[in-house]
Amino acid sequence: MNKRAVFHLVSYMTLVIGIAIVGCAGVSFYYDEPVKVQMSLVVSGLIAMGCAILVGVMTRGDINLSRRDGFGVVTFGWVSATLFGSLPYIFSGVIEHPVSAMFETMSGFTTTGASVLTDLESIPRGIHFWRALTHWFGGMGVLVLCVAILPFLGVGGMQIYRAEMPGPSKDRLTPRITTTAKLLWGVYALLTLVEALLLKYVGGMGWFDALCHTFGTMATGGFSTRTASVGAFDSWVVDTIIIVFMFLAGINFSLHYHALTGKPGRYFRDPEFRFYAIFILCASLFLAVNIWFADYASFGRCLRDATFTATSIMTTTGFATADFDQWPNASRLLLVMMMFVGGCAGSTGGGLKIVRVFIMFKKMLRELKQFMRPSAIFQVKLGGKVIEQDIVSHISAFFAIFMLIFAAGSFIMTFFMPDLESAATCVIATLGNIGPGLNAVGVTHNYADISPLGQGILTCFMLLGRLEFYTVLILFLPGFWKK
Amino acid sequence: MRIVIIGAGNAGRQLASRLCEEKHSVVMIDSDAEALAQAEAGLDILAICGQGSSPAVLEEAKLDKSDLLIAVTDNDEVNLLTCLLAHSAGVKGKIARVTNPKYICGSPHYDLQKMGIDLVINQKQECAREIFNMLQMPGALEAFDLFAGKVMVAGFSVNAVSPLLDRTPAECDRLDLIQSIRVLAIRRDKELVVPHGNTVFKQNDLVYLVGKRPDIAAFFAWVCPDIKPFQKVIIAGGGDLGLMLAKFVENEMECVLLEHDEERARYCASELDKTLILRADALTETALEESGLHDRTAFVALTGDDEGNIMNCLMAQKKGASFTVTQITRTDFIPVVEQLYLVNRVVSPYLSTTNAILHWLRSQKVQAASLLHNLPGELLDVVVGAESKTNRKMIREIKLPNTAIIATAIRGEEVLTATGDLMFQTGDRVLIFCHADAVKKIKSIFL
Repeated sequence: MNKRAVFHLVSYMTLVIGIAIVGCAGVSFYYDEPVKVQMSLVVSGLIAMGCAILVGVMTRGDINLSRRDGFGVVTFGWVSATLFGSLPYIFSGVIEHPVSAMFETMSGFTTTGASVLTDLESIPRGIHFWRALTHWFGGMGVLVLCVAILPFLGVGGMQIYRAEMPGPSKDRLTPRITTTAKLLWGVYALLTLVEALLLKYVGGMGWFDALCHTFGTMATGGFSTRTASVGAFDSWVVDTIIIVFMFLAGINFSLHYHALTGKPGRYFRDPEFRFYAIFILCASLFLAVNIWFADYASFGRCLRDATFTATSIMTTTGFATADFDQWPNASRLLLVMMMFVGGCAGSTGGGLKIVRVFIMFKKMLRELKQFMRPSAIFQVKLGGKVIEQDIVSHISAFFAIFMLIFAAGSFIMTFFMPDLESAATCVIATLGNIGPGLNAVGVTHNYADISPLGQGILTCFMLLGRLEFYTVLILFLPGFWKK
Repeated sequence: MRIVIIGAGNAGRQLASRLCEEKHSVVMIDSDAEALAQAEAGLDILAICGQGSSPAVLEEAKLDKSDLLIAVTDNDEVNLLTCLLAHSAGVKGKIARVTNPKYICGSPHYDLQKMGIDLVINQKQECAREIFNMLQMPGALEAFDLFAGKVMVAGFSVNAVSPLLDRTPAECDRLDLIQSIRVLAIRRDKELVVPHGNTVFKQNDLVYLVGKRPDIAAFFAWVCPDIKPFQKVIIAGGGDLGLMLAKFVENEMECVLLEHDEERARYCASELDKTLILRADALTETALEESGLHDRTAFVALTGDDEGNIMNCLMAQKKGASFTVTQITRTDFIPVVEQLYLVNRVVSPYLSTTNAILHWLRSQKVQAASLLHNLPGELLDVVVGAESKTNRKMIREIKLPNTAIIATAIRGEEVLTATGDLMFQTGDRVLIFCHADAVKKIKSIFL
């Protein structure tokens, strides 16, 4: 690994983070908050920028990244963002333990939305804004943003893009990776703007709440400014807007790009999108009927909460309007299974990604048919196109790693959690970047009661899940560090 | 610019890497998934697997929205057909590489340009011309004329017997020769050194000069005392390239062509008039002896076998050949062969193709003089525009990027010396050497 070049790029990214933190101080000044809060943001931002400039100057030189270096840049970039991003929480005294602060920051950047904060209404707005902003940066990827705005990356940009973007195959909208990154961020920013305006003018929220919730939605994050999450607004208009945008954020962004450039038909030609839409629809209906039979509320209310919850969980956002932990077991289990599936590849959602599940399912059918006719040749196809054998085997391996880490993680977490359900769901909720789980980590609870060691482990799971394992795990191979 | 390249071979990859450096959008198409994956791993390009001449694949590559098509597959027919398809899609620039010289006959009835192909590159011919230039000026690693022969650019390497060794230009005994030329750039261990008054020439430095042809010739006679002029050229391999070179050479010097295959040898004999054609395996001592190799002979190995070519040159050197040239098709071999000084010169048909294409591209806006093989830089030939920032400015007032140096300027018929107080006028043609990433900057300064 070319350590100098890797840390040079990480320093650029840290600089972006530093500038963003100082920007949040502006929000704090605007709302005239206590000096301690304002100073905590300014000082954290300056520390990040100072370190970034120092390291950047020390490591200056040519940037020639190999594929391996791309993984290094992304992993170290995320760790550095989390370290510096947690400073405002610590300095302002909002979170005392540094591990908890890092948990909160990592949860923000990885768009998990799991929180250690118990009373959100008492948190200063500057800190809230930074917390929501971590979501927004992490959603499309801070490093992809760097690829978009730093003109000199060239091939290095491609390596970084490959390592940070989730999904089995990385779409290229244009031949140049810088342009692709710009377009994706452009679509992302545009959708963000539209949602914020809708929440403000149609939903009737204030600018501050509208922006924070928009960041949480578009990044499929889930940090709210209220302890009761989106439920606190108790407005079907707000719910609907957020459902629509959660749904959009869970779709492959290159489809949005095609739609915006006049090819909306691409949505329905994409098998992943069709599966995603149908799955959410069916799940919402099932949940609505299931809770209606359990005498939850009127059918209209059931449908509204069921749709919101299904979309929120499937897209791995984690906003809540209802305490789904009180729902019948069938509903709860269905929701947990949806956590595994996650959003579409190329979206801001987490989980296994629909396309992977879909291909694994087809592969399973193929193997079954092969048993019956050993000499027949069957190809795994998706939307009429043959999926290459190496992609299929890559996905199988991904599946195995995901399940292995989930199993091992649940085992470890049994030492920190009161019961099995909480232990298992806190792992999938962090690994899949969802946020809420069941029981002790359910919608009405949070992660504050877990010991710092447990929080630290979950922090690692969030990073592993967001960067899809390989990018992080490759650093632990001894060969990685050799020249 | 959006550029589609068909063919992920040597030439395609080299072009893609040069074009990416200049921030163009490059799409590459090839039917060989492995070659494509290799190209994609190191380059910021969009790779599409499929046959380049298939409309469906071209549709996927959005050829109709591209500005330029470069077809450099191994298959001439695919190259030509793809260009015709691109013509029908309305692509502005179309370039095809053709390896079989039979496709180019020069008859006005069958003109490929009329069919919409802007540039047809005859790879073998480009390469043969390059070798012929080398044979004419053996002291230079590279030599070519500019501005219709008014100026010449040449590169040479400083060897142990060179009178320049370990001296600054001012310390040399033939100051008059040095002052008649201008040193453009020096490459020292892969690094580019921008020369100034007290630069010391080190052994193995690659020095590039610009000047008038007679001045350069006189300079070379002094600076390379070890290379004797020769009267005879022996060419090993009577393929298309060897045959073409023999046609150039036979009118100037005594020429011998060695070809193993009898039928091919007969064909060569029917095409050539003055050349002596021997049917023999060039890799045998008897063949070399029979061809009359002596110490005033140049030996050119042009068979399709890289290793054989290198060995052949070594054998010829042992027999006393004063100058050896080898063709190498595997571009990975080139730096090794050059660094070990196994042969005097290396030529590669792919590099010749890349050069020809880049020249043509540059000629669209900035007139490109040439691309230098051994330097990570380019020679730009720009014309001072009326709106230009440099118009009516003296050279010392113009702020150029660090890696750029003004070589010379031409006003009308006159060659001007690029000293600090030379003032540019509208219409002056200026020759600038610069690093590839400064090309854009230079364009913005001068145009």
